[in-house]
Amino acid sequence: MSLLEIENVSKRFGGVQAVDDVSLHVDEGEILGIIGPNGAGKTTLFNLITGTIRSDTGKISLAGADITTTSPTKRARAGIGRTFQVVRPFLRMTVAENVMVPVLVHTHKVSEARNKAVALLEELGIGKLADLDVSQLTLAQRKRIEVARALATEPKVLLLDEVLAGLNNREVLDVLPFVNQVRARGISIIMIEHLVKALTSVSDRIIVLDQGTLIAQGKSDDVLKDPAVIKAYIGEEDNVEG
Amino acid sequence: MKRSHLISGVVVLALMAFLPLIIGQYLLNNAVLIVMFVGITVAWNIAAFGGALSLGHAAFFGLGSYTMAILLLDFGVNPWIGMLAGMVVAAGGGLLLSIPLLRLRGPFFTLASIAFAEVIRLVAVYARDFTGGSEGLTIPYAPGWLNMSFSDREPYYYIVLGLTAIAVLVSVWIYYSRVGYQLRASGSDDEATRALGVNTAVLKVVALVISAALTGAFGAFAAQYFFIVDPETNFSLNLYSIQPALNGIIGGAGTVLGPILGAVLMTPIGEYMRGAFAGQQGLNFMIYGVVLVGVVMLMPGGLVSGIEKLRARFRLKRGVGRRTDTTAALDESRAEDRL
Repeated sequence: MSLLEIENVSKRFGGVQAVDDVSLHVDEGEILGIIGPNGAGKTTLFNLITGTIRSDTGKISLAGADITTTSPTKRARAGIGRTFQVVRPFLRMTVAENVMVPVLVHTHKVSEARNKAVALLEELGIGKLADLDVSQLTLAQRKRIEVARALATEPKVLLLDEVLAGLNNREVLDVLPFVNQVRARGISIIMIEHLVKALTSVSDRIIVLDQGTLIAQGKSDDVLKDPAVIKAYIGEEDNVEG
Repeated sequence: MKRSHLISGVVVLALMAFLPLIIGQYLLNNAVLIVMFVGITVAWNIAAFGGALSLGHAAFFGLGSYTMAILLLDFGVNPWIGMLAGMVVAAGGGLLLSIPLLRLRGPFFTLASIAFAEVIRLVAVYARDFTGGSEGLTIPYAPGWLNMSFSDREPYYYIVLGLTAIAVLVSVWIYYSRVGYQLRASGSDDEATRALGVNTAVLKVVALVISAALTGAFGAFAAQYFFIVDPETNFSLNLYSIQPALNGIIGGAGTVLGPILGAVLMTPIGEYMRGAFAGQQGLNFMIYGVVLVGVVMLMPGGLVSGIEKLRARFRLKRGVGRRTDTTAALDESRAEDRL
């Protein structure tokens, strides 16, 4: 049995079939990469997993428990953490306070929660940002705070929605080790990313979405050679890593 | 809560307690109004921690006034107990307003809150048997601490000062509590907060109910202070819904100090203009509007954020002060990112 199992999930918005009968699973400690052209339904799939959107069909289960109709809050508590494609820090709060918000779900004492939040930030190598206001941070720093905040929920599965988007090469190399650090904690990861090279370097397995359907899955090398993927994702038979 | 906050709070309260010894009865009336509006604004702001910008708080104020007055006139209930009952009824009103709060976002909730307060005001107008209709109810003059009724203004001043101190204490306590952090996060981004496992619905309801109950206490106080309760005054959209919201927004909604500053600054200006432009009806509102537009355009986060920005700029210029450590850390980490 896999940690997270998604069976035959679909979602339609008016005339658009955003996600069409998708099934996938993530094992414990695994990093699953999701690629696909714009509008392929990647973020919708994330919203279905976190419960922000209810699926029209199918079943989602986490560690054997059916969570298909569970609220986003309860899913987060059950162990599904996420980051957002566009960073969403809590404004007018410091970095430490941002991380305290999820810590306070389990830790009721404020001073204790603060210590835990600072300890987590230090563990991730960004301890010196703790007392800064989030509005003072660069995008790369905000992305890291977003990951730290999601980690503070103590997730079993972490959903990373384009954490590398908008970063320059140097910053990408900075954030990537972060992903491995998360895995080292025994947390499974599902990553959406447009940077195929960066994604394949950290993923164990890749799935490809196109117009809501899952068109390929497997080891990254095999998947990227799949003619269907090349046709849908790249358009022409050309350099895949472009 | 930091100790420095507590100390400065106690000092301010002590200074305020000596005020009646210095100023006369006319100014003391202004002082009562200012302190009352500080309290009402602080109470309103507790809901704003969670992002709820209500324009329906006049409902809670009026419910507090009417509950106390009706209990006193029809059932002979002591005004102090009536005040507590008024808080309970206002809290019930808060629970009612939670229904749109949890279903509507931002400006749509604000519109619903206006409608909510108007409906309750109309009930007060038409439930003539209890409320005395448009003429309202008159509180009998029976001086004495037991009756919360006095010939001088000093006792009223101390009562409202006590109520406001309680409101500020509750507000500060919530702000720095577990609930406060999660509430502020929800006010900044509700969906992101829920995705972190925080049950924001419960927090928002709790904040609105506390905010409503405190507002109700001031409503009951006002009934005793003005000796009269009527729908146009005690459910006044202008006085008790818009005014606290404006004070809060001008000072800095969602902060601890902002609403206090906003109310202290705006209440005397409003009072002065009402007198000075009594001939030209509506001119005072126009000037008020200009001030609001100015503040919102120059300092979108209110006076508090404007002051903070000025202080930060001053410190950077001087290169000294408390923030040097953090600004140094920031520069360092930014430099690292640029490498």
